[in-house]
Amino acid sequence: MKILVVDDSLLDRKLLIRVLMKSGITQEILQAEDGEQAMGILANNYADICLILLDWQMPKVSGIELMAGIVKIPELSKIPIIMVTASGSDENKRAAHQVNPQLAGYMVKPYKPEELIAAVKPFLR
Amino acid sequence: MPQENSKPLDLGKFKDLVRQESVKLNLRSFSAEGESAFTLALALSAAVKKVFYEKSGTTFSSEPKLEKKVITQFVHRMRVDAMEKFNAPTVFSVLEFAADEQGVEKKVYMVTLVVYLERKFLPEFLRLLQYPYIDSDDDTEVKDGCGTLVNIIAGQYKKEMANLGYKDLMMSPFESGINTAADGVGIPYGATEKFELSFEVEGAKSLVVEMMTLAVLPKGGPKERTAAKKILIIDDDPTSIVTIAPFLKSHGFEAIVAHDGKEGIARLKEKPDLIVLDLRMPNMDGYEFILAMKEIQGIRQIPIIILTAKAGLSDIVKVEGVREYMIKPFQPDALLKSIQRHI
Repeated sequence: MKILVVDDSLLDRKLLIRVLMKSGITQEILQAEDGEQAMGILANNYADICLILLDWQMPKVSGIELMAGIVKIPELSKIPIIMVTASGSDENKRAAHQVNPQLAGYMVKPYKPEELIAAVKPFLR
Repeated sequence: MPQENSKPLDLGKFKDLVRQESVKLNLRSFSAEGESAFTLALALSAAVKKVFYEKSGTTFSSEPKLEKKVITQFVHRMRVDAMEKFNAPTVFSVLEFAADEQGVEKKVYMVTLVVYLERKFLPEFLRLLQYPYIDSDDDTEVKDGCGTLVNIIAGQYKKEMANLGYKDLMMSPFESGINTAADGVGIPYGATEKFELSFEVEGAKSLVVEMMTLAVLPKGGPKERTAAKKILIIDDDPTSIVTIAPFLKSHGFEAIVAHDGKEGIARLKEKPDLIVLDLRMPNMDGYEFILAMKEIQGIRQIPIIILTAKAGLSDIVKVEGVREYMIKPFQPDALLKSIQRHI
């Protein structure tokens, strides 16, 4: 199974992937730099994706917008999503949970690598 | 196990649905206090990047006062549209980019970052600045670059910072020598000649942070340094070759190409300084190539950068000679930087 990382910042993606790999995660990691690109990847690979790590603030289609769509699509709604975002306010967390009551996690950047790993591990297949 | 039988989703319908749902979201109601600082920081980063992307000397000069003026204007204008994030990695990438783009002329270039912050957003801003990044050389997590910047602020606003809980950041780099600050911010290529940072409080409402970095490039500049270096690209994918080879040539490298491991072995005679190696290839694949190369007597250890479409190969870097691996598709700039690191 694969992990989909959606973040517009190449460096943030790189950082996240390094943290994942350093912890020994062997899943293939797919990358998208905005929600629109993520949609293309999801449409074709959804059956292989076990987890989505999703940034909030992105050009074109933001993370929250993408998530709002994902939860409405039966094929995708079962894929766990962890938000990984710099927006750490309670209001935003509430909003994310409102959009996706099944939200698998909400990580605030900068995150501690061990916290990210702990959040991710239960969903790896 | 991947489910081979699952049909792709209708992308058009997917997009329509996301559009419909996003309208319902009323995103404005989600914006939080901290976001304002964040948005400004985004604008800042985008503004600085824009300056660098303007390659002409008219908008980018080594004259400090002019720089400050130009970038300040950008910040004002770009607040709304900015999408890039301001954090330590971004600052590093901006500085590196500046060095790459402008280095050939061996001038002194200046980066001026101007942040306007309301005081109440200061903690949030500091949090952003303390973004950790992982040093690609030894894989350790470091925070010093941003820490220095925080130190500088702390050094000037001791009382205010203490009230905000930053009690352990009382050192001013101005007391400990200016090179400390330059090292901390990670100016590329080890340039530490000059570094200045100043800021002021505008009235009671906003805090202005100006980071002025004089990125002095090493003698010779990147292009001269790399002019004679030979890169052997071993990849069976013609798309990779037609993309990478001209790109490297345009950056002053000599690119030689092989289409599989066997051909790669033959081309070792040309004594490449670095090898960019695909893993999956016909005849002799990347792994076999590395093994075969080791068998050849007299070939010195040539740094190898692995290109692969497959993630999760962190073990490959433990193989002798392999310095780094990049997952396709990758940014040409990232490959260039990687090459420059290991050559």
